[in-house]
Amino acid sequence: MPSAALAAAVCLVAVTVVLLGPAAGRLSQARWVERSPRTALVLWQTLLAAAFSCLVAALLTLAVAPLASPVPHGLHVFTRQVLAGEPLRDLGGVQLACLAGAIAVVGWSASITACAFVRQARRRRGHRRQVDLLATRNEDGVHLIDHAVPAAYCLPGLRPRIVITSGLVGLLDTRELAAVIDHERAHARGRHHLLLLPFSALASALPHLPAARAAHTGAARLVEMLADDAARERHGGAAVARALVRVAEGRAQAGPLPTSVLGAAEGALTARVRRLTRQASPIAPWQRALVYGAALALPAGPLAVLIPCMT
Amino acid sequence: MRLGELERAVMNELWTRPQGALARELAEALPSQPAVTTVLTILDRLARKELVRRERTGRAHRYFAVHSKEAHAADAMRLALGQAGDRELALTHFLDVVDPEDVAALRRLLQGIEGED
Repeated sequence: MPSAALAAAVCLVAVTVVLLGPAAGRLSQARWVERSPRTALVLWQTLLAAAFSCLVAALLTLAVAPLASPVPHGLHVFTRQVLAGEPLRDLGGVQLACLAGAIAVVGWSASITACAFVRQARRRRGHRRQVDLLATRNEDGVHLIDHAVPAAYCLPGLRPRIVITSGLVGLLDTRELAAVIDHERAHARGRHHLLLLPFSALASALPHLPAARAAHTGAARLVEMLADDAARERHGGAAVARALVRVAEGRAQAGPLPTSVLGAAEGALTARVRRLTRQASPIAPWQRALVYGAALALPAGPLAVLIPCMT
Repeated sequence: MRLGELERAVMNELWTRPQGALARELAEALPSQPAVTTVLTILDRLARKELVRRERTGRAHRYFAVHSKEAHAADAMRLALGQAGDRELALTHFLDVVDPEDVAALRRLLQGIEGED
């Protein structure tokens, strides 16, 4: 096996390890994410996508190593072989194993995401039936359930439902209630459940990988901040913050609070309230541009390698 | 009126009648004034979903809600609030989980906000 290909593969695996180790750790601890949640969310997506594509690229590099050097040319030759209908020509046992590995990683990623989607949709269908049977619909389409525990959530789907309880209505004033409803509307409008889907799929498929958990927790918190910002825009930060505190108190009185399965809720609420009571201070435009540039470049990289052989 | 709407209306009527009701009584009570046969169809659907049970009284059936509305609401909220550990619903709550220590710190923060208003 050419040593250049091996070195390239080792480098790519090293990048994957760095991304899922120190980089994920740094990002989950970073304080700036509160200032620009959308940018931070893109960075989490980029990090996972990059780790994924580096791993696949490492396996592909090893698989096509004997075909030609340097590696990109090997990929060109391999692509031409695929197009010619004889993809496995000149590949040995090790190469075939690496190729199978690359296909397996891609297939596994697609299947855990698809399975998570189906699982969530099925579980939600039952709850949607309950809500539709029980709730009275306000004139603005909000579903109200008669229950003492103050709660508000978005039940996503083709026709998303915003659900609130009578306990919540009794607890908040008009402005706070409107802020909560707009927070949930932002979740529905932004299809945040789809945004979180790859994160939750990975976290439940690899519960022992710290990066998977950190990414899911981080993304879930950022999505809340996005919705907070939408509500803040219309009703002011103080109204959203007050609503958060009132609901937290109400829930504490209603009984034992559910503990997070993700295990990283500590201080999350305080962080949300604190940022709502301060003035918004997004990160500098050039920093945002850097993140979006990286997010564009990463998927473009592998394509750029392959395009010359198509033409 | 959609089927779901009618099911909801029938259930709400039954929930207010612990002594049960005949299909004819329900048809008369509903504001949309559906035909008795329509109500029977709806009741049949609800019975298949195990939301409604029936008892024979003479030539007709008397229908009852299997569980109270409160029980249904408690069940729905148990699911939604994730106390059963049901994360697969993937709901986006306004407020999901609270660290009990958060609440004390937040009370102080809240006093700060209200002072500004």
